[in-house]
This record gives sequence, C-alpha cells and structure tokens, in this order.
Amino acid sequence: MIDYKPILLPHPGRTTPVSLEEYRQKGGYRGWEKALREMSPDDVIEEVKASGLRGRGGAGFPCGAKWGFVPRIEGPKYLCCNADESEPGTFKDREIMEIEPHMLLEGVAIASYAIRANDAFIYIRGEYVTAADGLEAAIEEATRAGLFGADALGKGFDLRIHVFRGAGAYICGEETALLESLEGRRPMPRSRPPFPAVEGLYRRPTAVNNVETLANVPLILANGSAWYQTIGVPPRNTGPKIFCLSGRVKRPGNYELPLGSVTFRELIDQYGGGTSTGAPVKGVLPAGASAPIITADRLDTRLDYDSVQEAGSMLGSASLIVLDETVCIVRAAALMEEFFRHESCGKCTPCREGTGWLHDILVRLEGGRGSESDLELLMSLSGEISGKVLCALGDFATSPVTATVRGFRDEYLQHLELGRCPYPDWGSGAGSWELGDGGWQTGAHRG
Amino acid sequence: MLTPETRDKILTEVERYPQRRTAVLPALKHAQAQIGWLPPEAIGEVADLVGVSHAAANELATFYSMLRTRPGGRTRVEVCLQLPCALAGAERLLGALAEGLGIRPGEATTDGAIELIGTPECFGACHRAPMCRVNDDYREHLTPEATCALIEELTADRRRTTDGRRPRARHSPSSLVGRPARAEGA
Ligand SMILES: Cc1cc2nc3c(=O)[nH]c(=O)nc-3n(C[C@H](O)[C@H](O)[C@H](O)COP(=O)(O)O)c2cc1C
Ligand code: SF4
Ligand code: FES
Repeated sequence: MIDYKPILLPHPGRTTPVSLEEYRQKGGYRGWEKALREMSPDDVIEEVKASGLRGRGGAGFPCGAKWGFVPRIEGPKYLCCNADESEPGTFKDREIMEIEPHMLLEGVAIASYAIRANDAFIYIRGEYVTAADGLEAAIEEATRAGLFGADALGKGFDLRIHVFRGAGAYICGEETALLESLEGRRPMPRSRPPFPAVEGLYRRPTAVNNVETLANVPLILANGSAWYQTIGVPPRNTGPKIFCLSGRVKRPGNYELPLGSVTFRELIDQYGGGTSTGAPVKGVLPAGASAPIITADRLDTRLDYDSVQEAGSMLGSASLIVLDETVCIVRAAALMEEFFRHESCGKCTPCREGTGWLHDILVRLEGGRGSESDLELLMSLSGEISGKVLCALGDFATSPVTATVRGFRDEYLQHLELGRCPYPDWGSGAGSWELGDGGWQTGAHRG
Repeated sequence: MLTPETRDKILTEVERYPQRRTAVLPALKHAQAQIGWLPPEAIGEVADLVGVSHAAANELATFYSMLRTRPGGRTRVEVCLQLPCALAGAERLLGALAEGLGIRPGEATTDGAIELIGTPECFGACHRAPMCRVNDDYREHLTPEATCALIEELTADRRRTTDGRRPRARHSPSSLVGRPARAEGA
C-alpha cells in the first residue's frame, strides 16, 4: 500500500456529517475566504487551471478551462453541481455529500464566484434523501454564519445555493438533460452547440460540475495549485481520486488515492483484499456499465485518465466493478444492457430501439439460444447506435456489447455449443446468498 | 383533491425558483407524498397551481421512475438487481422477499400493504450489496439473517396497518434458515 492520507474523505468509516464547526476547526472555508478577500474571479479560474484539476464526472474535462468558457456578461449566470450519481457501481458523491457536506458547499461557493453566478443548484438524485436533507441543513448552517446569502462574508457577493431533487432517471446525469430537468421539462438531452457555458440553464451561461470535482476546489484555493500538483501524475493527471470498488472483492468501498498511484491489480489485491471467491479476476469494468471492460491481461494498467485510455477504455467515474472467473460475461453484459434499455430517454430512435434489441439478443445468447450470426448482429447493431445519437448514453450502451464480444468471443460460443449457460446462476460467489440447491427461482432476470 | 397543506407546499416551491416551471417536479412530489400516487386529477391540479399546462405536468409524471401514475402498495420494497448487487446475490434476495411476503416481484399484497419490485437501476449502495429500498429508506448489507428480520418487520407493520387482517406470508423462507452470515467487508 502506498503512503497516503485521504483529503476528500478524511474520515473513513464515519456515518454522520461533519458539522460547520468541526469543518472550520480543520481549516474549512479558508479557500472560500481567500477567494472572496484576496482574489478576483479570474484569479480563481487561473489557480484552478494551474492545478490541472480534471472533471471527475466522467469526461475528465479540465475544470478551470470550463469555467473560463463562461462569458463575462451582465445578467444571470448559473452553477449546477451534478449530484445525480446513477452510474452502476458509483457511490462516491454520496459519501462526500453524506459525510463532508461543507467541503462540497465550499467548492460550490468558490465555483459560483469564479463564474460570477449568484444562484447555484445542486441537482441530486431523488433517492439520495439523507444526503439532500444533510446538504439543506448545512446550507442553512453556513448561511446563518454569514458564509453564503446576501453579501457573503461582507464582500458584496450574493450567493444562494438550492438543492434540487431528481426523481429517478439516469439520463439526468447528462448535463443538458440535467438542465432540461431543472427547467421543468422532460429530461431529454439538447443538441450542441450551443454548449451550456454559453446557453445553459434558462438559456443563460452555466457551468456544470460533478460533486467530486467541486470538492477538490477548496483544497486548491487553500493550499495553492503548486501543492495540488504534487499529488498524482502532473501535468495531466493531478490530484486525489476516489475509486469506487464493487463486485467480487472482499472489501468493497470507496478508496481515495492519488491519480496514477496504483494499478487495477494493486487496488483489487491490496485495498479490496482480492476477489471474494478467491478465483482469478476475469475482467474489470472501470467506469460502471459505461466503458469497455479491462480484461485480465491489462490489470497492470495504472489508474489515471490517460493510462486507462491507452489500455482501450475510460477511467470515467472510476467505478470499478470486479468480475471473477466464476461470473458469466454474457449475463453481465445482458444486465448492463437492461440498464441502458431502461434508462434510454427515447429521443433518438437508434438508442431507444437499439438498446432493447441488444438486450433481447444478449438474453437469447445467454440462454444458449440463437446462433453465431447473432454476434455479428450485435456488432453491426452497435455500429448503428454509437456516434449516431444525440448524447453519450447511446455510445455507453454499446460498450458492454462490443467489448465483451471482442474479448470473450469463446465464452459466447460456448453458450451456443452447450445450448445453455455454462455458469450456474451467478457462479459460485454470490456471497452469503450462495445456495447450491437450486436456490430461489425468481424469474426476475432470466425471463 | 390536494389538501391545503399540500397546496401551500406547492406554492412555496413556485416562489423558490427563478422560473415557475422548475417547480413542477417538486410540486408533483408533494402531491404524491399526500396521495401515494398521481391520479390525473392531481396532475391537473398541480399544473393549475404552478401555472403550466396539464400536458407539461403530465410529461414529467409519466417519465420519472419515482413518480407513479398508478396506485401501488403503501410500502414499496424495491430491490436493486444491477450488476454489483447481482454479484452479491440480489436475485436471491428478491426471491426470499417474494416468498416471505407471499407475492411475486411486480405485485402488491391483496390488501395493498406491500409492493415488491425488482429494478435494473443502481441506487449507489453497491459496496453494501445486496440492498433494497423500503419506501425512501436504504436497507443495505442484506444477509439472509438481515432479510429474515426485514420480512418480520414488514409483516408486523402490515398487521398493524390492516386492522387485524392477517397476512398469509411465511416469515422465514425455508431456504434461508441456517445459512451462514456473510463476512462483511469495508
Ligand atoms: C448518460 C450520462 C450520464 C451521466 N451521469 C453523470 C452523473 O451522474 N454525474 C456526473 O457528474 N456526471 C455525469 N455525466 C457527465 C456529465 O454530462 C458532465 O460531463 C459532468 O457532470 C461534468 O462535470 P465535470 O466536468 O466536473 O466532470 C453523465 C453523462 C452522460 C452522457
Ligand atoms: S442517445 Fe439515447 S439517451 Fe441520449 S438523447 Fe438519444 S435516446 Fe436519449
Ligand atoms: S448495483 Fe445495486 S446499489 Fe449499485
């Protein structure tokens, strides 16, 4: 294990939120005070640019540059914090919000100041009730202390932070769908350009940032970009990153480490305690259901944006789902495709219809029905979706299919040869739920 | 059909945001919290209060999975079946709940007390899998023992809320008895 003390999640195992008093005792809101007292909004943007901070919501876009795109014009501008966190395998923003609400709020405040927005919205998925209630309480606490509200800290800057609760739709994490949802419309992505920086919420300039991205900002302001550059692999992979580890590992959970400091294998073995079954790793999904699987031969890839991309996938939200050798890859693909089928917003025909077809074909193959030509059908159908739709969900939806057909073709064929799935149920590792005697017959997934 | 309290809450939402249409979603949630679901009359009343067309409110009510345009059970038990949970036995959890409650996934008990749902949506609790939501509460780390306790709790609640009508559920599904607890990770 490497020598590193977490700074975004400094209280492992804690279940109650850090109060304003406690947060300030440990140096909290120093970044916000420094920004308002000593820095112009443009200074803040320059400092964040110099830090190298890249967006933690998936795309890894440089945060300071995004703020720089917001035009310096009169009239309302908005900051939107993306707290929709619905990617399978992702639970990092939840922990930040539930335990460190003030760290996020300080980041929201600094970002709002940087782009000169007086209204900030935290768009949080509807199921995160505990986190949303905690954030609202923390906003009230900080506003009473004069940190937010009219004339924050007596420096003439007005800041209102609103918590807006979603209602169960993965697509609301896509930034333009998020804006549509906030405007009270069906959350269907917009075509771009114009980008949100120019025409966002209520058609006004808007920056959209992920929870974890914004949680990094107070540290950058308080300690300086030079300090931040000492964490991770500068210049393109700086700072701490929270890795969500789930699936077949002994110790699932959030692990905060510097970008690029460990490999997939090290994270799984040293932090996750190895696979829960003891069987070798078959593959790892590095970004929930949305990026191509990393096969076992690439587990020595470092966990940073550029290394994972070189290995043919994406770090994305860094939600690592570990599959061991006892897991049926076709079944895993079918389950992920069922997610996309369920979550497609329906605006583009290839995505709306195609995700359903892909799912149907995968279910058929998993049951040992269908034929080898179905594999070509899966690939050509994926080609008709990817790149031909309005938002990245359509592209995401093809990766469970194309990456597993490419990497595990023999396993698909084995299903066809046997006329059934060679892996009983979810294999032999379903935790304490292992039954071995036929188990529960729910029909929920097997249809 | 909305009570004065609900109407007040909705009008407060309308005041809160830069544009009133933003209040439609929170307003629909207030209406659902009162009624349990969103009948067409409630959707219309919300739209009138916020000041948007009925269609504008309806297009949200019919889109989001947390908004319901049909009545269901008073207590909703929603099991996540997405990959990380599936790898920890989520389907068996769903089966155990079905057997214990005496209903099939997708159904409600005949007295309308409990509805059981399996969903491919992930709830951000994958490190504490398998899990379910009971209305808005997260129930995580559902080992067989914890599941037995949950079934007990649900059926006890149901006895309380159904005026002595007894449920026919079995409390400890046969296949759960005597299973070892799962060694819990981080
Ligand atoms: C289908 C889809 C779902 C997404 N879900 C999320 C999400 O839940 N949270 C998030 O921060 N970004 C999500 N994103 C990425 C956002 O569109 C956006 O890039 C991000 O919020 C920008 O913030 P960042 O630059 O700080 O990373 C999603 C994108 C797509 C296409
Ligand atoms: S790609 Fe899919 S989710 Fe994205 S806008 Fe089109 S239909 Fe909607
Ligand atoms: S997969 Fe079940 S909560 Fe994430």
